[in-house]
Parts: sequence; structure tokens; C-alpha cells
Amino acid sequence: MKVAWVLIFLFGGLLANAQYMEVSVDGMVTFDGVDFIINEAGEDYSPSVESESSVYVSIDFQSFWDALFNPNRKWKIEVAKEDLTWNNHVKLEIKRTEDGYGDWSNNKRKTRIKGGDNYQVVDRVSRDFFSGKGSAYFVPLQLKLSGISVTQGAQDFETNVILTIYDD
Amino acid sequence: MTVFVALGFAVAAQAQWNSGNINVRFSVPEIAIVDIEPELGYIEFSVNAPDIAGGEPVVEHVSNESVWINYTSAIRRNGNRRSINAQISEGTIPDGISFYVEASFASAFGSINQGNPVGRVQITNQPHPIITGIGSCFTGDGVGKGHELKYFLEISDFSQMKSIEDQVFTVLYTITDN
Repeated sequence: MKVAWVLIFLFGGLLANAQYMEVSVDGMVTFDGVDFIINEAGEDYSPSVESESSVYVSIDFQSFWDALFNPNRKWKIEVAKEDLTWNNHVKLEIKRTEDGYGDWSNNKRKTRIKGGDNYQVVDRVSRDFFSGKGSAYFVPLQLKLSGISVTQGAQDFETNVILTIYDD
Repeated sequence: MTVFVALGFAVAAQAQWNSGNINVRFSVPEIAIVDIEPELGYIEFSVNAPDIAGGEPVVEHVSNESVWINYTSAIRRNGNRRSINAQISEGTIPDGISFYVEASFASAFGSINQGNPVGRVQITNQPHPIITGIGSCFTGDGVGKGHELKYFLEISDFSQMKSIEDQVFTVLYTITDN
């Protein structure tokens, strides 16, 4: 009997561990080049620049069986960034602009997500972004840059925004 | 002991699942633009006969507007600082006349790394720096921002002067890498 309980614990633990959801990103972030042009001599850049919203995040079950037996699995997304070439005076913010779709096939089912619809700063520390239940597809994201000035000189910027999904 | 291992699996199931990655990449270009404010079109001097016989001709600055030069500059790290050069690009200065420009120190408006005025500089058809040491900066746009420009016309050699009709010449300002 004792051995049976141990096996149940072990099996249950392995099964729970196997059931996870995954986050994927489609598209790319573009900042319109016009925003980095000075029109009048003496001016600085605009205080902030928004990306065109052409990057989407999807949250999906790893397997069909997970979706079937646990469709209301709760999750949360955290956001952080890893700088490759950056300037600490430049602030990067992120938000989701819409809810996306809850159903991959016909885009009719609503997602069950909350939070993340106001800009929040992305930095090296991982912070809560938004959370939800079940699957969510093509949730559009928008990024905003601020603090860019000609006084920082001509330079290249590159960072990776990391979206990490956690069991909630 | 085995029970602890099983609980460990259960705890692991509450942790991170996986990550997605958004690459954000953009470039801020080099910039060098300069402008004169206000857009007067011209400044005007007149050289008049002396009031008394044997006296020197009198030079009068007819147009009295305040003229300012604005600029924006973005250079790469370790790139050369820039200068603003002035030269006569069209027309000629009449014989016996010398023409000068003097830039003021930068106004309080604008950013750090604005340039330094050279002082009073004679303008010819060759470029002469009037402001040097310009880094990555902006002066602000409009009158009262950047450097005020003062113009001076002097009779340098009276013996070469001739009576002429209106003489027009153009001063061209160029921001360049040193």
C-alpha cells in the first residue's frame, strides 16, 4: 500500500510537470524611420516613438490532451529584456493593444486574459505583464521608446524582450 | 525520502514553462543640419558719402534684425566634432570693402555639447569656421536659440572703392566634420 501511494505521487508529479503551456511570438517590431529624422535645425527627436503593432504573442497548450482535460489552465506572462546594445537613458515600454483570439480555427471565441493594456516599463527585472486562462492567439503587442536624444549621438540599439509564461 | 521527491515534482509544475523572444533593433542616424532664423532673405548695409569734405565714408547697417543660427548634430562615438563654416557663395564683395561675421556664445536654451564661437571672422569666397567643437547636440529652433550672428561691413581700402549700384552677395553656412 505504501509503495502504491509513492507511485501515485510520482506519477502525479510527472504528469503535472508534463502539462505546460507555451508562449510564441510572431512578427517583428518596426519603428518607423521617419521618427528618427529631424525636420528643423535646432530640434531634438520626438519625446517618444511607438512601434507599428505587427508583433503578436500566442499562448497555447503543448498537447491536445492538455487542452482537452485542462482547458482553464491559469497562466501569467512576465516581461523582461536582455540588452545587446542599449543606452540606459532610453526607456522601452510595452503593452497589448487587443485581446487576440481564443480559438485558433475560427477566431470567434474570446480570450480570457487581463492586464497588460497600459504601457509598462521593460527592464532587466522580470515583471508581471498579463495573465489569463486557456489558450490565446495573436494578441497584438506595441512597444514605445522614449528618452532618445541627439545628445546621445548616432548609435545602434538592440535588445531582446523576453516573454516568459508561468503557471499561475 | 521518496515522498519528498514526489513533492518536488509537484512544486516544479508551478514554475516557469517557457519563453518567447522579441528582438528590438533600430539605429539613430548621424545628423548635421543648420538653419538661419528668421528667414530674412537679406541684411542690408549702405555706404554713404561723408558729411564733411575730407571725412571718411559712413557705413550704416540698415537692417537691424537679430539673426540666429540653429543647428542639430548627432555624431558617432569617437567621431570628429563639427564646425560651421561661412563663405560667400554668390556675388562678390566690392573692392575696398571687408565683410565680417561674429557668432555669439550659444544661448542657454538647447543641450550640452553646443559649439564655441571663433570670434569675428572675415568672410571671403573660401570657407572659414565661425563655430567649432560641435558635438552631439541641439540648439533649439527659432530666434533667440543657438548663436546670434552679428555682421560687420568695413572700408578696408578706400583707394579701391568705386561708386557702384546695389551689390548683392550671399553667405553660405555649412556644418562639416572637422
